[in-house]
Amino acid sequence: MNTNREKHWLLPVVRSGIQAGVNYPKTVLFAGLLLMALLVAGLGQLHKDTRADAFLEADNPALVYKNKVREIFGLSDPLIVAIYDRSAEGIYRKQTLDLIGQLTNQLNALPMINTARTISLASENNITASADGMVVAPFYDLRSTGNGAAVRQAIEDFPLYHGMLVAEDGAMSMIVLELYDDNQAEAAYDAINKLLQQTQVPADVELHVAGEGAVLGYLGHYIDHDASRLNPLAGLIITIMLMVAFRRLLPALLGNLVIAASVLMTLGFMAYCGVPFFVITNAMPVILIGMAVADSIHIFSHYYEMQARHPDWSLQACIREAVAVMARPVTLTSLTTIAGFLGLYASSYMPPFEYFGLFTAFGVLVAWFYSLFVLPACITLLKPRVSQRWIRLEQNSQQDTFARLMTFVGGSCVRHPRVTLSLFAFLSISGALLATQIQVNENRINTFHSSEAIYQADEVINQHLEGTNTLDIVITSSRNEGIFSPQVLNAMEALQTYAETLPHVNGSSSVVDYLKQMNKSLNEGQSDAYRLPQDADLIAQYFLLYSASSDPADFSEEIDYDYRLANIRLNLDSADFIATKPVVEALQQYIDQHFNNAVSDEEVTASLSGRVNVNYHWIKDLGVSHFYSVVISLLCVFLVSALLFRSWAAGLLATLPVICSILTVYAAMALLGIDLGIGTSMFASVAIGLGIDFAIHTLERLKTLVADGLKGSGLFTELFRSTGRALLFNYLAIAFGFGVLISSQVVPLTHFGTIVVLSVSMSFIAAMTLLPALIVLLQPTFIFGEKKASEASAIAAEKHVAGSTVLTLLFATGLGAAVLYGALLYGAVHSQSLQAAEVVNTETLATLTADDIVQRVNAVDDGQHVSSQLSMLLTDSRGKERRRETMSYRKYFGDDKKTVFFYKSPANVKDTGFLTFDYAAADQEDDQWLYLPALRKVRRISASDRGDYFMGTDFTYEDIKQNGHISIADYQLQRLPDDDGKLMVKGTPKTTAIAQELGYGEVTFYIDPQNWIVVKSDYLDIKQVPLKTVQVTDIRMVDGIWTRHQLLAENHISGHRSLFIFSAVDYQQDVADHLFTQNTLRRGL
Amino acid sequence: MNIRQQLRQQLRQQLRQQLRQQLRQQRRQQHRLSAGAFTLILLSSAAHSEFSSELSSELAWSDAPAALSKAEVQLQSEWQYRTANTSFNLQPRLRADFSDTLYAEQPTSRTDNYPAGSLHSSGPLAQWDNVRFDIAEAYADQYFYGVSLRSGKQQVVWGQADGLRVLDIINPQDMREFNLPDAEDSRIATWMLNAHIPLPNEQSLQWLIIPDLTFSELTEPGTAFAITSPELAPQPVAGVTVNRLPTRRPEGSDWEHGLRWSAFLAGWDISASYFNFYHDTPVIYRTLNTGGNNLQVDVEAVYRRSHLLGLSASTAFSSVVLRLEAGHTSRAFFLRDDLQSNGISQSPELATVTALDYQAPADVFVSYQFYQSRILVYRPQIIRREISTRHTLLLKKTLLNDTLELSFFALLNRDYNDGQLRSKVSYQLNDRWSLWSGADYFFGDRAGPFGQFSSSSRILIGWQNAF
Repeated sequence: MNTNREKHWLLPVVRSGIQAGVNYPKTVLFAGLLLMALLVAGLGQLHKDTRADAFLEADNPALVYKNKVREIFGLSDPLIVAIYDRSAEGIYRKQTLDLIGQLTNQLNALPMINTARTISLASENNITASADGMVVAPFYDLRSTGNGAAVRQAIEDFPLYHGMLVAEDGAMSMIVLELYDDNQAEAAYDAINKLLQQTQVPADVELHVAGEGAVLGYLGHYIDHDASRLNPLAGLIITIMLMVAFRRLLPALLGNLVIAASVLMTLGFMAYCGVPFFVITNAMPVILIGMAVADSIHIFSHYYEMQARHPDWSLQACIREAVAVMARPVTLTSLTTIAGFLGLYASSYMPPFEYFGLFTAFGVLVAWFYSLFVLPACITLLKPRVSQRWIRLEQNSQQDTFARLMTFVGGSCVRHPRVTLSLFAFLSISGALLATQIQVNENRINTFHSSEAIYQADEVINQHLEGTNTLDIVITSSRNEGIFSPQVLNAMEALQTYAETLPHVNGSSSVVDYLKQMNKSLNEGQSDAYRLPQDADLIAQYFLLYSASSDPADFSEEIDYDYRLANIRLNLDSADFIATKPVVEALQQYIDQHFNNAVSDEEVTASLSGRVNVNYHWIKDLGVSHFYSVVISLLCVFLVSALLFRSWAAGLLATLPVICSILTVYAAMALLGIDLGIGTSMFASVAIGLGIDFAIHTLERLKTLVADGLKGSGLFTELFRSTGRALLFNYLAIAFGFGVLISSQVVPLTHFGTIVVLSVSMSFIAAMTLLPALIVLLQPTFIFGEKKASEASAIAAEKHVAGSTVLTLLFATGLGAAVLYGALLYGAVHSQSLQAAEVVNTETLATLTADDIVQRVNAVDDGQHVSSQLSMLLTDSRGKERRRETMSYRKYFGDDKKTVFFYKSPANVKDTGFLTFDYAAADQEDDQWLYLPALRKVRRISASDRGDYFMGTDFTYEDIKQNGHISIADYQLQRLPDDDGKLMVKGTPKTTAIAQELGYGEVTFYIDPQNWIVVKSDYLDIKQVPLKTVQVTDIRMVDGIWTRHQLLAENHISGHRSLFIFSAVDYQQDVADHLFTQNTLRRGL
Repeated sequence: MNIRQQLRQQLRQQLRQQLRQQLRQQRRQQHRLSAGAFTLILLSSAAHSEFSSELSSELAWSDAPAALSKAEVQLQSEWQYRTANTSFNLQPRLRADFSDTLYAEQPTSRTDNYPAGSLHSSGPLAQWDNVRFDIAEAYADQYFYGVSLRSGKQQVVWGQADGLRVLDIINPQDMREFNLPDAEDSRIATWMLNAHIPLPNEQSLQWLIIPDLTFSELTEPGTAFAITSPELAPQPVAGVTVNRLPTRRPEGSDWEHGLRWSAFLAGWDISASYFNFYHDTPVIYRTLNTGGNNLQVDVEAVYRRSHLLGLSASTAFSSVVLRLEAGHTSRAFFLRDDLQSNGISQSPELATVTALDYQAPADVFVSYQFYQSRILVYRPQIIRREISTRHTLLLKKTLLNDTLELSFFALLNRDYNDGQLRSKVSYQLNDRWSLWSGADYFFGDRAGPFGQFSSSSRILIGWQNAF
């Protein structure tokens, strides 16, 4: 079989196929235009979907449930109109109250507003007491009496509305509006704004519109507006660039044809497929513009170059040659870019991202087709002639500034390959490390520029009221009227109380609040009657009474018709993912642990719903998805490059510059404080798709040049002078194209533009510097052929050791960075959620058993982390003193606790360090390490000798570890009679083995019930001889935590005493994780 | 151009080159001094600096020729200066030995082990007959985004073994008292970049770049611990003249570098390391030179490069700590009993250490280590055994709240059945003063690496004052 590829039968077929555009220009052009017309025709059917819900699959449980809840309670994402009155009286001024009434009526008159659901001071009812029971009457009715003071009083007497409907300082009130149909959000937002603009407002009054409904309404318009400004701008810039580059209009026009084909056909195809235009789809045209123009530039440059170089050739020969030469690189780069975007498709879990990957890949394919076939067809037909200026320029270009610049920069890197490599290794490591600072976060309000009214409205409303963001908790009981059960209502109240302790949750409302208000009003308005009635029948009667006074549909948002389902709505002042994530997770944990089994006699469950919950569900996997998309895209481009060059080394080399660029982007994101959100998370695939081209062109060109017989420095000089210069223009075109995005008003797009420009810049720089440097060092066979390898002598091999080591390190770093980053994202997603607060019963001290007491002792908060200075004063029986100064740190990692001590003085123990990992799992032994400066080594020490004395003190390792707690696993506990107000508990080791380990035969603990701290312990040794006494004094509250400041241990046998004095105790200042590592132990503080 | 002109031109060129080199060196020295002075001024002006010193002295008497074999006084200071993210540490050290047995009066090749261009920064800053002033350590610590970078002259210890150098070969050693001093004192700190990169899940990477090619300081012939074991030093042959050629150090600016991955997994501290290094002791090549009347052997010491792949692990089971260490050296060099291949055989070497520490009740600590090294491509002409085996045992007890410490150490080298026994009593009088006394006894075949020092067995007393 003929193995020579040059003579493969397929080759002529491929060759003639590639020349189709030149050979049959009219047919190809016709086919191209027909295809274009067909697909573009579909554009009309394209529809927009800017909903946040669009980011989840329609069958996602969170979304399905949210929609179900919406049906039951009629809840939707509200639009909030806030009335902000800066005057002294606030909104209780008459004019303002009038305005609220007027606005409520006008807003309710809008056709898309679901009037029944409007909440406003002008429409809500007050519940008060009267002689014959309960009066339900609008707050607004009180307006006429007392100049608003009555309204103020009524609101302040109704805790539910105080803070929710009217700000606690009285400066703001809101009208909450809901729509019949979310799809009318844009129209509603426009109408409301128009209405507000026409409204005459009293002095000192401002009107604001915000809320998720408003965001939804404005976002579509905002993005459209932005896109309609950006896309032409990108096109214009590209056109200007093409004109400047070729000094002719035609290349610019033909370039735009390719662009138009690629962008419009892709969008048309999307429409045919029924895929909507999502928020992120806005970035697609710009990306395609960048890709398409790069291909056209390459074809045109070569075509003109042929004309300039071979004036005797026919124009058709020139274009034929241009196509023949450029077909391979253009195809290669298109394939790798497609691979990058398909990587995004494969790794995404959100439909908009999947479609983005898939259709951008399609667009790149279209650009490839039009550049390689339709463009040559047009050139063949139109026969554009190169401008003389261009020829002159081209002839001079070999020495022009750009060529000189590229030769200089590239040449320097090739001459000092190791320096280049080290530099990139350094950059990559920095990037990898900075990447740990990036956080996954998203907040739709941040889509808007901070100067936008909606952004400011959101800010001002969140400042004054309970918040514009809603999280719903749906309570489902198993039978009708199940919600009437006092047990259920108590559990709901506890849940609400717990929820309000969570950060950013500023208020909650449910049927519980109404019932409490009703109970209060039926008890003569006594404030201590603001509680839940504890009788199911009474509760049912309350509702009956209410219905006698007002419309029972008032509760439709809180409870369903059958009283089987209830809703608790929480108001949050932030929609930031990082702010809402702990809330959602803490609530879910509380519900699982405390709510779902709270009621014994019937099955009641609670489920989270609402906007914040849906957002949590789609953003929580964003980090992981991003990570997978990076890995898969990298893998795709690696495989495609390896396949194209038939060399694994080529795959690796082509991918390296892209890895560098991605790491640089992470560094930049961390430094610029850009979060990983929807807009920014897709940068990597784009960066990989675009960045890989530079490396491919470089490798391809080098291969050709080597095949042409160039070697040594001449090889690289030629590379930088020709391809380097061309790639510089290619890079500038893309950078300018994406640079346009930076000017976008849509903040995520600005960020996206910034980081794509940065990553493309870095890919370009790396392809021009790092790649040649690596090639110099490694002399890969896929470029230089097998010959080189056999020439290499043993000495040369030894010399390459350093180079290959650096390379190994570089790869290791890349890999390390990936692992690090993966772990970071994993950590971000699975980070510790807030602990559910324990409810403490107030039993009398006398009834407490020993176990109860110890449980309370062990439950004393010792802070999530603490740092303190510890002075140890050790005195022997003769009064000889030794003093040690240490710094100690403790931190919880989940339930596991890590503690570290660093000795600061005296000189003979200075730099000694001691590190302990104390595991929550009872069967897992602690891990301990000691650093002894004389050995310069961290030594593992066994932890089972817990009865040994700690560093020459009278405290054992176990004493230090327990840190004031009492180990239930070790002791049999028995309560003794109280001693001077202190509770006494005797602990006897459960087994002789434990007694041996601890060195104690019996311990008596004295506990102060005020703070549950063990203030004194008496220890007997195994022979029941008094061994030592530990006394705790100077117990002070630090940062809300009872803290022991002095511990004195006196050994009755040796007469030795150890006094521990803690100072500078700080629970606030964060304690860095790295303190608890062997490395820090070794290096000291 | 005639020959004379050519010669003259060559000579002129040579002179010019020499002069230029001298000037360059002078300038470099000046720069270094001024940089040092500037740093000192900067440091002394700083408020966040700490200064502490230790003055110690040790006297030893050897048994065979009953004589004072060590009379050392050492002053080591430590100067620390901290800023928010950086801390500097400078440890100048002054050492003097008045016994005349540890240091030769006329050092012949003492400074060969330091890079010629930077003798003073790497080796002694100043040296008189028995007195030496040097920088024990000098480094800056920086933390940025979790990475800690220690750059400067420092000691880095890899591996889990105590006193048995398998992976602990990052720093060269001062061999003038063999293995008797504390590891901290015998390691020679070298200039390097030491970056520590934390990875998730208790993993980390350590990356070393060591541009400073300082090698172990060897003993001079005639001093107490001069090496005579045929396994380590070529034996003179009667009637054969030895022609000692200058030591061949690596040319150019060749660097050492290492990478270590460490992790804490399921209770195990594990690490895997790679070190690209020069052996700290030179390979002694011998070439028989039969030209002329005399039978002459040209002896040339050459520093050679190698790779070390290492693994180490340790964990605690109840009161026992298990420590493991293994190192594969790609190129180790062994003396042969003939002059074939210039008297040296090259082979990969695999060395392992298995150690058990037991924390017994009553503050007693027992540690046993088993060391074995195998020459992987063994030839019968190699003097060392194919498998070399050593056992060590350490017993230690602390009393009186860690103020009194008794220790006993035994080492048995199975190759020659030689070894050493050491005992020490140390007492910490108070925070400032500590005293000690001990005995170091070498036994066994004089051909063995320990037995060779049989006559250097000694008893000693010492004190230290910290201030």
